[in-house]
Amino acid sequence: MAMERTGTARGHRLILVIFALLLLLPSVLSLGEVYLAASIAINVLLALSLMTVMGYGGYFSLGQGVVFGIGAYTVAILGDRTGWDLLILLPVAAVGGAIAGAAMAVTCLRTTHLYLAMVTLAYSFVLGDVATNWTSLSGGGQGIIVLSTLGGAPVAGKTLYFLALVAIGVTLGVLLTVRHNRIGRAQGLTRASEVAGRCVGINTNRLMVNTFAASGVVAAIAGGLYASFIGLVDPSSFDFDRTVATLTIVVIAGVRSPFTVMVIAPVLLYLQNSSGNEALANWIPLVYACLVIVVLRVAPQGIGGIRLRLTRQLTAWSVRSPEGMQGVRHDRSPCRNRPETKLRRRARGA
Amino acid sequence: MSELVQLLVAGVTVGIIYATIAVGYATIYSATGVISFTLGAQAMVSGYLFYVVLAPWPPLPSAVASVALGAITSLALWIVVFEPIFRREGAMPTVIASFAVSVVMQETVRILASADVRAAPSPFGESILRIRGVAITAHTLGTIAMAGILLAAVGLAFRSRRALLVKAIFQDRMMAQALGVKDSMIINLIFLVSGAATAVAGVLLAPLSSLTPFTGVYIALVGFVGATLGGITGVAASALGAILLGVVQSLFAGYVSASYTNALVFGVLAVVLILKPSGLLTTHERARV
Repeated sequence: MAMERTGTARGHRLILVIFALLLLLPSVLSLGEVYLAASIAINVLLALSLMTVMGYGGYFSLGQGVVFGIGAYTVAILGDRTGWDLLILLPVAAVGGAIAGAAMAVTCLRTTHLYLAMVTLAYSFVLGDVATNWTSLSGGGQGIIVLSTLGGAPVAGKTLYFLALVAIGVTLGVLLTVRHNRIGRAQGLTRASEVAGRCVGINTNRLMVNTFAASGVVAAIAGGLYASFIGLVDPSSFDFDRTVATLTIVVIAGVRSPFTVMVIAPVLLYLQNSSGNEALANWIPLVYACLVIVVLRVAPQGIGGIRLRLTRQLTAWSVRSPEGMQGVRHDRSPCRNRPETKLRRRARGA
Repeated sequence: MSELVQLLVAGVTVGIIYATIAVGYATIYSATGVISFTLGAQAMVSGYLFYVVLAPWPPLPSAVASVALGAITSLALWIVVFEPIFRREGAMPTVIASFAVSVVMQETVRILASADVRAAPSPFGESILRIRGVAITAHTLGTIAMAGILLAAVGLAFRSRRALLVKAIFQDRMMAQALGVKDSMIINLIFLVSGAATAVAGVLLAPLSSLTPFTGVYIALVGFVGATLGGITGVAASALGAILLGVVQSLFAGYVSASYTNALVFGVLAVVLILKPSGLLTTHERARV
């Protein structure tokens, strides 16, 4: 146990060092690069929100765009009407996102798996249509211009980068803490089998609503930051494309591998956004879609899954020599290393 | 009165095309439990084959070639991409893979043929029949005839005794195998049929809507909404649901608002899935444990 704790502590120290370096990043980058970094950070935040609901919750939701759009429109409309500070608008957007996420979950309680994906997808189309046509509220297809202020001054790319980074840090902290506590274990069991979860007394409905609400908070903050970043919110905020792009990142990295997302997402987004190379930009969507197919075929747990498997393999080798025991990290859940039998695979719903 | 009839005709025309795609969904779902979102992209590709690549050919051989290629593509995708994922990981990752494949097809077409909107003149000609103020185009008649024949054929095939094998595979694949059902062959056949139906839909739909690489997603979703509306487990129910969707969409666009049709389509989907997930036209729910 002591071993495990030192290992984790070392991991946490490493994370803190990395975050410190990321905080220093804008001082060495040019203005354009800072904007790119802010855009990447916002998309990473959205990927983490999808991870919350899909990876840890186990619900295949295509509604990330809905909550993202609600966050963006909240900041845009409220900011336009009241002129509030971004530090007030973002929490309001977060509350809106939580409510939207919870409402989405409540309507989906009876639907399972694929139907849940479809209902959430349907919401994004309905809201997109409403945003296009309800001109008096949303500015219609032209959208609303967002002029966010923070402490009286217009928001700069650097500030948005810092805000997104803080949000990422908090989200990551919560995800890592929850992963191994009561809620995380309840999620793990419910993910494997909802019936089993209910049998041991987990209120699976409440768990689902809470997971969606939590994910909604993160996605709405990402939306709010995006609104101030881009300066114009239009119905394309609700676009299915954004959900698909986020899904691509999360699937390639692995649905339950937040650290791998932190590494993979910037690489993927950098290649996608640095449109200096026209020919490359043309091929990027095709390449990414192919990558998703390859990942699903070769390593269904994503790149993070490969990393995990390699680590296990290495520890398994090192266990054979007595001094190798030093490096062993015990899995926290005793069930995790059991081989997957045919029966268990079917119980998983496959 | 004639306006109502006109809208109904338009609705049925679009609806029957949706129905051919919905039948593709229903046949695949009833054998494997997978929803293949690639169908929309497949329809789009067939449209490009017919109206762009094979445009110099006379309509009949070009149609046969597009439909044959559509069927083969569908089967190849199942064998090469979906089947290995489905066997190891189950239905959900397969659905994600089908999204990815649909993006691959869309991007390939965009890179090869550019994102421009292409003209798609109807293969049935431009003549218009007028009956008491209701205009019926040759395309409408041709569409209803072609799609109607196709739907009837698939419907009859699924009423045969042999179609029970599909139900057997769906309910317990291992048991069906043990009893000597050649499950993989039947599933291959189903992918061929759904691919062909989708290709027909793609060719028929292009003159009514626009032909761009990005239409695939919309076709996939509308076909799925239609299938779910009727009940995706049944071939006839899903076809009827899709026709109903086409009619409702057309009436809504004509009488209420044309700009809210997306909201209508997907609002209908959400309400149906929330209130009666098994579809409007099915009587019993099937549980898979």
